[in-house]
Amino acid sequence: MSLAAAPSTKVQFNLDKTSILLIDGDELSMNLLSQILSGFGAHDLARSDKVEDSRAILNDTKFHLIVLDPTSLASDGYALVEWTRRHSVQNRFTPVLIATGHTQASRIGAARDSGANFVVTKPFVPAVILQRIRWMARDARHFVDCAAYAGPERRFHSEGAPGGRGRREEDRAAEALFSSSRELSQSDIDQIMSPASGKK
Amino acid sequence: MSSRKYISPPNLLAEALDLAAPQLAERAISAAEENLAAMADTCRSRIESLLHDIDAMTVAVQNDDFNATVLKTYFLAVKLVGLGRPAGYPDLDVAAKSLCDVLDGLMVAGLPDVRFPTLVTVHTSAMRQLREPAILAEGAADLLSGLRALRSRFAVRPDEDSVLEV
Repeated sequence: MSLAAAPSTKVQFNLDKTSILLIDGDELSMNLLSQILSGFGAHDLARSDKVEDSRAILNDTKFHLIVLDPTSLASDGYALVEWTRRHSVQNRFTPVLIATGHTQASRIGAARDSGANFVVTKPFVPAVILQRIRWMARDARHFVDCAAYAGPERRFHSEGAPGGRGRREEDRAAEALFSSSRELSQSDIDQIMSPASGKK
Repeated sequence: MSSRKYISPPNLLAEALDLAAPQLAERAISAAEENLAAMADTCRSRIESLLHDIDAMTVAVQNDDFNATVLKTYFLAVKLVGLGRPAGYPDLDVAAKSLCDVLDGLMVAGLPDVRFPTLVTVHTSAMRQLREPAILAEGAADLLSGLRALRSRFAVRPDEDSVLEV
């Protein structure tokens, strides 16, 4: 485990008051994630393995966190996130963590454009999952709503409007990564998706 | 004129974490690892089943549509990723990702490739060997190095055109 992934031993973390929706088309993968979250104290865990069922659940029940593996679903999981950001009655602003086994750069772009907060790659490492959930709890990015996108602001900092002039080094690095279709490591993904606070 | 709204919704996840009973993160991680360890046998069994199914694709490709078979194999390989660590074979996840990369490269190429069965078999054989770390000893590094070489040859690489231009 890297130092960056290792939370301080003084950090308090308990999901006993957190309601979570797991969306995964693969039962074993969902069980693995469920076991990790249960270890973190979560007991309010809803499950769904189909996009259509998930939409109904997302409209009816409010969650504190959604964890989704888009590649395991028969229908487009990224489109489900996009739908959630635009149409879900209860969960438009709920943090979404995408958990996936293999990530092409083109799909990371789809994840980012769908409105997910973070992406984490398998294998699931409890310390990393915990860190990502903490990042989401501290995520201070604005929620952007426009014709092309709905979701957390996609820049690392909230300085200035996204896009256009005045781009920083991080943005150019992210663009370079998005422009390729190679497999991305977790650190690549974190560099793209994480807010500055998450890196500290 | 485009309309862009910036909204600052309350962070309900943060509020839920604040309301939770005290628990050290270290303890939470330890409990999660224990829960995962209890699933080791299930993961091992699933790995065996998936390796069998992936190998079967090397035969199926002789009769079925090439691209459809590669896609099926890819999704089987994706299911493997993440099972190695809880099963106690962390290097297997690396090999499974390598297979995903190689299959992804074949899909992007979009043309039937007679090397498909060999590429798949090399990976599944490596994964089977990586389940025996005690027997394999330091040979695991060589195996993974070999897979990396394959991956670099077949996976979609960034900036390939610009390299050719130079």
